[in-house]
Amino acid sequence: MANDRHEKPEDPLDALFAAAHRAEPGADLVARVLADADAVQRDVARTRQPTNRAGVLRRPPAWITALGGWGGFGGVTAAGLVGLAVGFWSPDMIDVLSGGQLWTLSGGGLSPDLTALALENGDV
Amino acid sequence: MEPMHADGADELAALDDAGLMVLFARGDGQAARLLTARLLPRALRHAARVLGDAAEAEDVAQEAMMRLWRAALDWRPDGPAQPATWLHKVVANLAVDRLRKARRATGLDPDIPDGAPGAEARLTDADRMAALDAALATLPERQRQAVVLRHIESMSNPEIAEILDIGVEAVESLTARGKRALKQALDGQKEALGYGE
Repeated sequence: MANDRHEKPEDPLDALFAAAHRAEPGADLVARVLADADAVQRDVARTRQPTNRAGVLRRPPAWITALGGWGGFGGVTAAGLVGLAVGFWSPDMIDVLSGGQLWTLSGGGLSPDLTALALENGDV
Repeated sequence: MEPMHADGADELAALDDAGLMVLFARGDGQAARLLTARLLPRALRHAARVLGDAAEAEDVAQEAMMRLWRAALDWRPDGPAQPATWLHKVVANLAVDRLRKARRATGLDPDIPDGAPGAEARLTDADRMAALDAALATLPERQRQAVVLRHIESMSNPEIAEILDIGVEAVESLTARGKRALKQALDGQKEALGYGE
């Protein structure tokens, strides 16, 4: 098409088409369009930020996954905290719950005396 | 630092429009500038010749580019659509909407610019564009769009068919009839337009 225009410059219509093809946008319009582009890119950057944070919650690290995900991790944590609380506030309950074995093993101390296990002769 | 930057700019400039769309979606500001330099003039020319009104054409071109930026976020570089074709389609639809709204509002065809400049007037490109717009405004909408895309934007018939949602044969017929009608409309103005012997 461009060739047609150059080959027959005397044709008024082709000359008009060529002149129309030379028209360029003004600086104001270019600036407005670039400002729009910038606004769209800023919006995208803003909305991608929380998505990344939500992504960590949705896709937990491998060790959390091994515990059964965030639900499993929560259960293990809660059980640990309950055990700690019971041991701290009511150590006797641990003896009751273990049928007296743990207290006996520990010799009444805070930590179990495992030598009793090593030396036991089958009646523990 | 400087040469590396220049290399990066060259690499970017070598990318096609679809590649730049993907970079734009990743936040590349230079991609936005290159796409604007490549596509905005086309959108504006298309809108200006179909609408025959510079201010309306700027609005349409800006709106079409805004839709292009949004579309870039989901753009598939291996997809069938080319950004330029996609943009012309948007411009065509926006322009037709404006023409129809104007017609509904006034009950008349949109103002046909008085494009025949006085023979003694010093002719500028703007005068010639006014004459072209006046002649284009006498064509039916689709004929006008087809002529603009074919003869001003130098697009292929299949591309125009895609933009206007019609068959390739229909495009051939529209452009042929449109060009004939334009020639007829401008025949008597050869001298007035500064193209006389």
